[in-house]
Amino acid sequence: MTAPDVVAPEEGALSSALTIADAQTALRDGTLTATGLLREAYATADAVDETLGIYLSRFDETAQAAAAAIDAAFAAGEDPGLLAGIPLGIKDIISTTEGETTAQSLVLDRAWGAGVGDAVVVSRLRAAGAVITGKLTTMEYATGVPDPTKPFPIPRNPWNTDYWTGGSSSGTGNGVAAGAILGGLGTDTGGSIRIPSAFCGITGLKATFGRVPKSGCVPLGYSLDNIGPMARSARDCAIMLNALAGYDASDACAVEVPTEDYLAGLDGDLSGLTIGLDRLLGKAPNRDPAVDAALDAVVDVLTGLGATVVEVELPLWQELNAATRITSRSEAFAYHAPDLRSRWGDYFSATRTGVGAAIAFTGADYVQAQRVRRVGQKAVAALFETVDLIITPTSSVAGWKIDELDSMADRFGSMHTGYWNALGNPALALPMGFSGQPRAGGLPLSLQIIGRPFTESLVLRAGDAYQRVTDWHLLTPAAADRSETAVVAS
Amino acid sequence: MTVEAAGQPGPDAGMDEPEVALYTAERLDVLLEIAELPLSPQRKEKLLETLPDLDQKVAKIRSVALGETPPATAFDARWS
Amino acid sequence: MHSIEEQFEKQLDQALESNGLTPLPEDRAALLKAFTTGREQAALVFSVAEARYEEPDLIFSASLS
Repeated sequence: MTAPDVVAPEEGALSSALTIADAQTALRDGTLTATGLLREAYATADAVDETLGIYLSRFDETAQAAAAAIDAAFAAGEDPGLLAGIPLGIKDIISTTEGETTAQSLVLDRAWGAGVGDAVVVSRLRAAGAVITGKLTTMEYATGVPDPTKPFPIPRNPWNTDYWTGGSSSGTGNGVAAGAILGGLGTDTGGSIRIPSAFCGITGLKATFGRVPKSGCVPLGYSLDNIGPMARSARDCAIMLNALAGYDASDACAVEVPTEDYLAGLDGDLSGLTIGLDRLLGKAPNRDPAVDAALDAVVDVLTGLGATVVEVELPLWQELNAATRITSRSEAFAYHAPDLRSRWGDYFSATRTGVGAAIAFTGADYVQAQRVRRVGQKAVAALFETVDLIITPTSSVAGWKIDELDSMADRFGSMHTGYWNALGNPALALPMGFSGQPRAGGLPLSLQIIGRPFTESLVLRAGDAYQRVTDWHLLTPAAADRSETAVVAS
Repeated sequence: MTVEAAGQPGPDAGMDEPEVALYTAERLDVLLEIAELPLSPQRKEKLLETLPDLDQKVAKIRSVALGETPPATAFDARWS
Repeated sequence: MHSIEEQFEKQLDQALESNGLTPLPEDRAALLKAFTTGREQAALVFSVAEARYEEPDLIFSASLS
């Protein structure tokens, strides 16, 4: 099935629908060079960044050197790695050797990142040959909403620039959607990979808690934080996960579970799988009717791929979302308390009131939340004895206007991501349709696919199978159009 | 990841003074309200006697220079 | 008898003071709303009957470093 009114990339243009998988092939057959790919990526960023607010800082010089080295290696007949020559951005709460890590805040001591150097995940991407292009916009300390009174860009949705990208991995979301990068790192404590993926129409994976080491990342919720890939497709996320996943002793929460080749099972076949659908009706204060039409189409696609789709009801919905909120706020407040006491006004408005609200909770409330997480894990594990995967909408709405963000507190209930942070399961967000017309102000809609702990292979297989027969993930916003013709080998 | 060593007081270090005195009857009433614990006046009086000590302990925890130190606990998604 | 709103305001004020926080006046409304929601969320997690004798998913290890 293809999406109606699909806007296909212009023939011969460097498509912003270029995937990492496409680029891997093109770099190896000589159609593209790493240098040319990077040049085009930066040219796209030059054209759109002032409007979209993708980057906080760019690493043009080091990225160009890295790309040149990759080209030299290919020319010498070497294969410099899985992600060789692929331009990737890093959310600016993850430390890199180049530049500063700011957490998009006036508060973070810039010396912190300098002391860390590359986070483990960044080292792994570089070891795989990735070209690190720069640091991407986020929400302050990965929480809250943009604050126009602070000296940082407001990230805008390339599908409709009146709308927010979602957060907190905002620059990764709009950067991939606009074609300024082919992929990037986000983090997810309550949905911060999946929400910008949903709103910007790209694919993002929150892996199982502990699958990807998070050392070298500014913490928001110690028992909730995940670092993960955001890119155009499930296949691209699988490629990135192959580089990112694996135990590292520097992260006390990392789990010593063997990794897999996350590409190996992407065969397009969902025969024999039972998939549980919870439409989450009545769970959100707002619901776009286009979500339900899109879900109906998803069921048709998955059934056509051989799966059996059954209706399920997720247990303890309100309670587990409350557990995520109590946990994330309490853990964040423990980290921020000294700075909130002395530098309250330097924080963004939504950050300080959101994190500061943790004073509502007692120590017993926090421990109780951890007990409820355990009850939830048992209940959902029981559900997973009847299904192989679970699907839900990622959000009941397609986004919010930037000038409505001060009422965000009422709107988080429309996003259906935090439940899975309470439990730790892997969850993939991928595009499933549009509310309105693409390229005419319409906004993407997103499907969430969830698996048992450490079953990223199956989750990605389902996402990839869906994307083999649909084109939603290949649609590009008008903001990503480029007037130049294809980058050729140079 | 760089981790600062937690500051450790020497054996002769004085106890830090709490930033705000928590051991008033009025404050205790508010805390009991939050905890939904109905106590008799006699039990409240006894509880009030223990608060300065707790107060000091909280202040001591807050005075430790933790830097980026994560908690001594971890969450495991596999528990079921 | 204080109204529930007055109760939450008093609890918020005390919590701000005991945590050493001095918010700006423009933050008051958002803080009170978040505090109130927070107390509701705390009540919700304590309403889970199955959690009464459940262990928390909080693994302490003497060897964590």
